[in-house]
Amino acid sequence: MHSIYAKSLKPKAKRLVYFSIFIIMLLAFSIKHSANTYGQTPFEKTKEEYSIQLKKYNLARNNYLTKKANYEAFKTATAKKETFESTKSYLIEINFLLADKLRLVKEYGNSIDWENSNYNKNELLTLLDEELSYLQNHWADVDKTTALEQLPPLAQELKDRLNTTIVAKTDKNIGAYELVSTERAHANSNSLTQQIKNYINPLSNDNNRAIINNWDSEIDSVNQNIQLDIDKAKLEFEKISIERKSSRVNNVIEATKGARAELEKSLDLYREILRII
Amino acid sequence: MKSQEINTMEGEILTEENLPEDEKPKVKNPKLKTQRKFSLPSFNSLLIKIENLPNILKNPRFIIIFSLILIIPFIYIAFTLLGSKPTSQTPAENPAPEILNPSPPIDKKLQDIENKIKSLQTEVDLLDANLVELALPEVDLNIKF
Repeated sequence: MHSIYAKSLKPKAKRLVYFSIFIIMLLAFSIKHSANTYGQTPFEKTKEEYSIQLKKYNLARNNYLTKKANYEAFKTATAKKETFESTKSYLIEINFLLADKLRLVKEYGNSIDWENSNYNKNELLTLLDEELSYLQNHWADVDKTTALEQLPPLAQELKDRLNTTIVAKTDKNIGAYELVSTERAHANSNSLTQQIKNYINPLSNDNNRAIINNWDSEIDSVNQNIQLDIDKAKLEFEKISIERKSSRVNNVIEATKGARAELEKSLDLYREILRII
Repeated sequence: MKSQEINTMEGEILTEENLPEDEKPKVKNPKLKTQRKFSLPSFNSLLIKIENLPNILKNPRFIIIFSLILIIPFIYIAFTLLGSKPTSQTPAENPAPEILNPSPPIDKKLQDIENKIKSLQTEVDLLDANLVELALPEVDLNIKF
């Protein structure tokens, strides 16, 4: 019966069926694609772009190493030309990879809450823009090259820049993000402590007074420790130079890690007192 | 060539060629289409068409085409709803339970505190999460020949 119906469909009707299926598929694809693209935050989008660039960098590096080995073994003009092309491409991919990472750091800076912060967001993000601008110029220089001998000095120049200002300015930003985020969490923790105190104090009686008093002193001590760690991190942050590479940012991270451990402790204390009361 | 050796299609052509003039199938005049002129349908033909409407509606071709046209907007709406990520939206608060079972103000305060604890926990967890991703990559720039 069904086959009779199918046969009875005129070419015009068949065309309409195919067209409808095509439209449905097109709609499905466009909506799925738009949901994936527009559902992402700018930070997630930049992260994805960086991952793609990392793959490109790895491919370019493998190609460069193969061509370089070939050239060193045979020293022919063709091998030299191929090595030049692969090295140039590799240098460009390094440039793009660093630029994508700087954009990722910048987007992270845009994603955090800077309200009530002592740090100037725009000033810090401008440091990254300066390095992005350098990378743009460096790319233009690499793009202009026509011979293999021109590439090693450009690679050395990028290496020097990376080990001085690119790393230093990125570290400065990472250190600031650490501080801003930790200070924000600490401010929220302080506000929550006060709210819990206001909640439990009216419930105080002879049975639980000792617990509440001890909790009170313990949470105050934890808050003080958090503040001490933040102050330490601030001191280390001020020492981060934007002119040369250093490990100062690790000291900032170490100090904020201490503050984070104390914040975890305060969370446990909040839960404990609410369980007891 | 014997007639048994000729395949079916060729046989048909041959038979058609051998037919007398008046029995040959008439070739449609290609100019007919262009000669058509627009005229309002007569009342009788409209009446016949209306009478035939139940038959048209029962026609499988009509049913298939009609259902396909109906399906397209439904699928479009379904995909739009899927694409808009309804899970990420904050569900509207239902006032009904509050009316039926009013909680004392002290519980509301406790609930608010518990929510803030959860939110602070998330904030603290996130402090570590993205830091690793921000570190600059190790690139090999020792390009020498």
